[in-house]
Amino acid sequence: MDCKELLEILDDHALPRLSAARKAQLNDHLAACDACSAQWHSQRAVEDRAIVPMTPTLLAATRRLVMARASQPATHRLVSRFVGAGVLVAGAALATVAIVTQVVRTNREAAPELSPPQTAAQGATGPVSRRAASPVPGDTTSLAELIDRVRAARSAPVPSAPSPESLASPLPDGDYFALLKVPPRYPSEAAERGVEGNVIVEYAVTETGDVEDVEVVESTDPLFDRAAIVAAQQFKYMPRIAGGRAVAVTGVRTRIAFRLRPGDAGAGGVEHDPAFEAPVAPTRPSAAEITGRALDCASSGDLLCAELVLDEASATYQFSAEDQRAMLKAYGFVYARLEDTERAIAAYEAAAAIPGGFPGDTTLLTVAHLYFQRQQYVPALERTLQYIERTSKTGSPVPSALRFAERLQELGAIAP
Amino acid sequence: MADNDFDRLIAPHFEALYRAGYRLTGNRPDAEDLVQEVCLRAYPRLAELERIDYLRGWLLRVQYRVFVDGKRRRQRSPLRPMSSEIEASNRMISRDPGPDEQAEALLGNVPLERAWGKLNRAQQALLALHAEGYGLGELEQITGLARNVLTARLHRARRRLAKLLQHHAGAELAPAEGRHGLQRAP
Repeated sequence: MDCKELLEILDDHALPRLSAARKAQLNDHLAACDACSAQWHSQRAVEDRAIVPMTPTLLAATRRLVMARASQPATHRLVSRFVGAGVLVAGAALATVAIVTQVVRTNREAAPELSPPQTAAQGATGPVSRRAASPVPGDTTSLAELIDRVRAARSAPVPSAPSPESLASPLPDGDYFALLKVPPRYPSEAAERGVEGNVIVEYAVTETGDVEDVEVVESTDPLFDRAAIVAAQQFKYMPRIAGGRAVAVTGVRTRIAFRLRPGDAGAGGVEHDPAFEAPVAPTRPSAAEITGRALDCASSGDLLCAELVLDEASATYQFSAEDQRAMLKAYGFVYARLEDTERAIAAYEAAAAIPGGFPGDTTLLTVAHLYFQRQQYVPALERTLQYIERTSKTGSPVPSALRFAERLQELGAIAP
Repeated sequence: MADNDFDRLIAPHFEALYRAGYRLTGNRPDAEDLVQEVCLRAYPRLAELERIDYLRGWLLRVQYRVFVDGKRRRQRSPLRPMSSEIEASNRMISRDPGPDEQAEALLGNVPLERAWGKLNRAQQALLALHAEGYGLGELEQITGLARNVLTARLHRARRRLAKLLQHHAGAELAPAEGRHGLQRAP
């Protein structure tokens, strides 16, 4: 017997079905091979863990809970869930310090609006709504209006009852790109001491666009490692598509920057963000809470539920600019997973149009990739250049953006 | 939607869900939470569930996704202040035994629990569901992974656990003995 056979026996739970002679061979191999022996015993240890029996009333209690929840109207359900959550918002504003992926931007107002090349090719960019693409700095549009814009782009009915495999249909080939990057929580010890830092994490983007096997590659302070890993684990990607199938990609790196805002312990040199000043209504949930619920739905394969959660919340509450941006990105993520690229683009564009945002925000790049998927290279290039121009003012754009822009130019897009 | 739909469709799988949930979370309160979460998600879709052939697989799949994607529900619980989350998770990986670990020490296999805590959630989930007796075919359905990806990950998780267990055993029992099997690459 060799290691491979032994692994197959482990994988197939085949031990009870083995003949006495086979068992003897297996024992011989285990005695001779340390690696197999270690794996064998670790599996045994896991199988032998005791399972404490469930509470006898659990089934009945669950039945009651489920029935009660089912008889509540949906909106009421959301509201009751969120009562009390607002208390946390103020704390979250203090502890959550923005930031993912890049270096601090020091001059938000100067963020340029690269004027799009107005050429004949413009007309060929397809039916995508461009209304949300020209942000007015200081725009005070309510979330409801923004959502209306997103909805205006709705043309076809969404697919009903998606299976847990939301990416089962054949897709056009393309590289992976980020759909959702959540800012890390600022470790309170670091905040108290006024420490800022950067962490470079490396991970795999799975076939489903989830992040796995996050490891810290480089870190200015181990204080940040845990928070960086936790944040990265929640990133969502459009997976790489090759030959019509989603494939996993390993070795993806992201830099997560931790910067303090004024008002936090040890103020850093980052610009002031008025969104954090806004008084918080006591019963309003944070965007993090709502997008978290939406992602819960999405992760169980129920994208329509995710959309519903966002719809209900946006119809019920007034949100700060910061929160609106987070909600719109979550919409973008849900639509992208539903393969409704048009609405995904509209949502991300609306999110990018809200001034502010954390330094190094890659939303524009996400928009560019979505245009690319639709083979609309001109707007894709435009957004990529906007992204590069904005981020290069203060930090460094992600290297892949430069390569992406070059590729788009090669693909026949108009160079600026 | 009638009461008996729940009894007819979900109740037969309840025990299996709980057992798998317990293996995933390692304790009763979390396992019970997880099972209830799955039922809450499944119930509004009972009409669809009727048409699913391998309903247990579907329910386990929902449970797997909820688990692997992290304890969002708990993290957002109003009862637990957000800013202490990081410290809480740091505490879990500290070498000092916390209350949970002390309780585990009375009940079970401490080196295993310690090593287990160092696996990521996806690895825990694969090993746990496999240990619960689900075969590769069922695991394919539950995780949505292709067979080769699934076996590769299962093997990687198992090797990692074995290494961690050996590491602990080596550190605690015989640091200077140079236990020859320990350094060998799996």
